Amino acid sequence: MYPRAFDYMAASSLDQASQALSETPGAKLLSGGMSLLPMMKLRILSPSMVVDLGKVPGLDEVGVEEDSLVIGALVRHRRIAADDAIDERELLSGS
Amino acid sequence: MHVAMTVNGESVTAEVEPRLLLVQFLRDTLNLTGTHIGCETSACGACTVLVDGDAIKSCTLLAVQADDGRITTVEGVAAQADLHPLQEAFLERLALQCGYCTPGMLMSALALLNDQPRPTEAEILRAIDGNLCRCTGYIPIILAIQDAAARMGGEAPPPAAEQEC
Repeated sequence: MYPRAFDYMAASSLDQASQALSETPGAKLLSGGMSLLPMMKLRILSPSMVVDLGKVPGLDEVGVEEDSLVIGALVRHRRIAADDAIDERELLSGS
Repeated sequence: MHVAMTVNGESVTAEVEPRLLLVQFLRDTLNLTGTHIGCETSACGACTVLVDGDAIKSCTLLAVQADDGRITTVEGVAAQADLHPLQEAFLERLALQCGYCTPGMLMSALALLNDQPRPTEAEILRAIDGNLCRCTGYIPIILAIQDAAARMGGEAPPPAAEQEC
């Protein structure tokens, strides 16, 4: 096991996550983990607590609100690359 | 912490430290050593497994994050003794040499074919762009995935001579 030991909390809401962050010195948020986990494995970072957003409902959605595109914080890059609502707006195609 | 997940169709429960990575849980706790550890930084894709149908690099996911998840490893691809059409195609098209990347390649390809049964070459390239292979030059792997898609669709695989990428 490469990361140092830490406490883990799977937050069930953003309020719960934000409360844990403010109450726990050294706590870090975990979403996709592509940056945080490699840094923890290299022990560049050793958070006292990892607050996982993965189980918070509603953060993995792409929505259209009037003339805005709303991309949830947990939407994966792969999903963004493949999403029809994003594709229609040609945001990624460079045109 | 207590975790409960389904691995290759079987329910698994265990007490794990939060810092245990999913790949270590699979290999060291469950003895499913088909999932390989390569780069450790989610660049190489050797550790790719399916979590709830998505291809995920298990070296960069905590076992506790996979709690309640449905995991498929390379051990769960074949139906008992029979190889999956994707595995048959990899074997027959020589889509592997040393084999280190193969479990991850298979899982990325499987996620693709589950989602898109007749992928274009561009879709195949995108699906395996997170999986490094140092032996094959990738062409046989692309051909094998195309071949598997044809087999799974009930079509005869195209002859090798027509399969120039």
